Amino acid sequence: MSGIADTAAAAQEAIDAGNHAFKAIAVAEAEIIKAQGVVRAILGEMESSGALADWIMLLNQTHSNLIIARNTVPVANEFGNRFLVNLFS
Amino acid sequence: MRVHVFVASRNPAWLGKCAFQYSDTGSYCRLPEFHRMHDLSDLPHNHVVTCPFKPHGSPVEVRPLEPGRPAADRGIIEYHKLGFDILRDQENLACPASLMHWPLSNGARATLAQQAKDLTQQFNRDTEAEADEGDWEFAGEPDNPQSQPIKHKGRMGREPEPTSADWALNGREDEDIIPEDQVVTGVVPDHVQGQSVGRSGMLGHNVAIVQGALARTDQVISLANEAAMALDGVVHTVVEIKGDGHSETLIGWLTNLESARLELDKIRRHLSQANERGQSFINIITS
Repeated sequence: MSGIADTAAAAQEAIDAGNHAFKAIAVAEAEIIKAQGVVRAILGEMESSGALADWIMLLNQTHSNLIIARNTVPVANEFGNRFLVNLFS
Repeated sequence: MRVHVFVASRNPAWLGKCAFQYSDTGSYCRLPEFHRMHDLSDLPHNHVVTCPFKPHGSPVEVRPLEPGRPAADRGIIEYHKLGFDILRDQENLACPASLMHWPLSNGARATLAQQAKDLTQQFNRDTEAEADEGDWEFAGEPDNPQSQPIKHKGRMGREPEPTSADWALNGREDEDIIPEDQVVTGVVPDHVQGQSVGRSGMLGHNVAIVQGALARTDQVISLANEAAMALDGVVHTVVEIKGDGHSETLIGWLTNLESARLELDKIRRHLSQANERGQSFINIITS
């Protein structure tokens, strides 16, 4: 039983860490959106340059990666919850 | 030299009126007054008058006016230009209109100039006196003696009493001084023939904006690192729990965690490249 309890505690701790990662990713996504707005404003106000275009392209890619990560982490946590349910069932 | 043409005709439209005052000096002629004093209606039609300033006294034919045509090309009188030397030999020569003796002597010229000067000064004095009377119907309220005139060229009006010294611009808003955060566009185009003019009025402001965006991306990198560390711990724990087992739930959990971990690696890589681009952009605009 102590093995199950330890396993459950470890799994719960992993789930909590996953939630912490999810929150960090959500905040990062909000910051990226703000950075995108700033760079787009600069792109519209100043003359276009290769560095500025690359910058906005990389920010867009980062935003896409953040979205994927934000959607993937809850799915992983769902597996963890399912594991816990199966552990006590 | 003045040439006066008297029109004599029974046409009631211009009977008794002068055709025109022809003068190469452009001076004011009192000929209409002369005509008002002298009735020319008794003269027969197309009476030929003699120009008093023609040296040989040849007659000048006077024809009626043609409306709409300028006098110069009407051919009414023969154009002749007389010099003062011609009249100098003649004695008792007086203009019948201005009643002045021609040619003018130096004394006469000086007298005329002095009379013009006196008349002008008197007119100015009368105008100022009339203005100082204050009896204007639409004079309006007097200006605030503490106010100052507007220093902008071409503007009329007064500014209110200054609250501080004039040399301190905070007390007086000068329209010509453009604040630093105000961008004036439209005066100078941004691009001329496809090349940038390179206005740097907002350079400091734009650099600050770009650095702020770089700071945000740095923050995102630290958040991604934090998330990656958390997921590393989760993966380590799940691997320990799984051990050598083949639990589909744990395998699914691990698969998704690794996918998220890969995305976070991509995020950190892209953001570091983005920061490099942003920094190079700052170097471009500040160079």
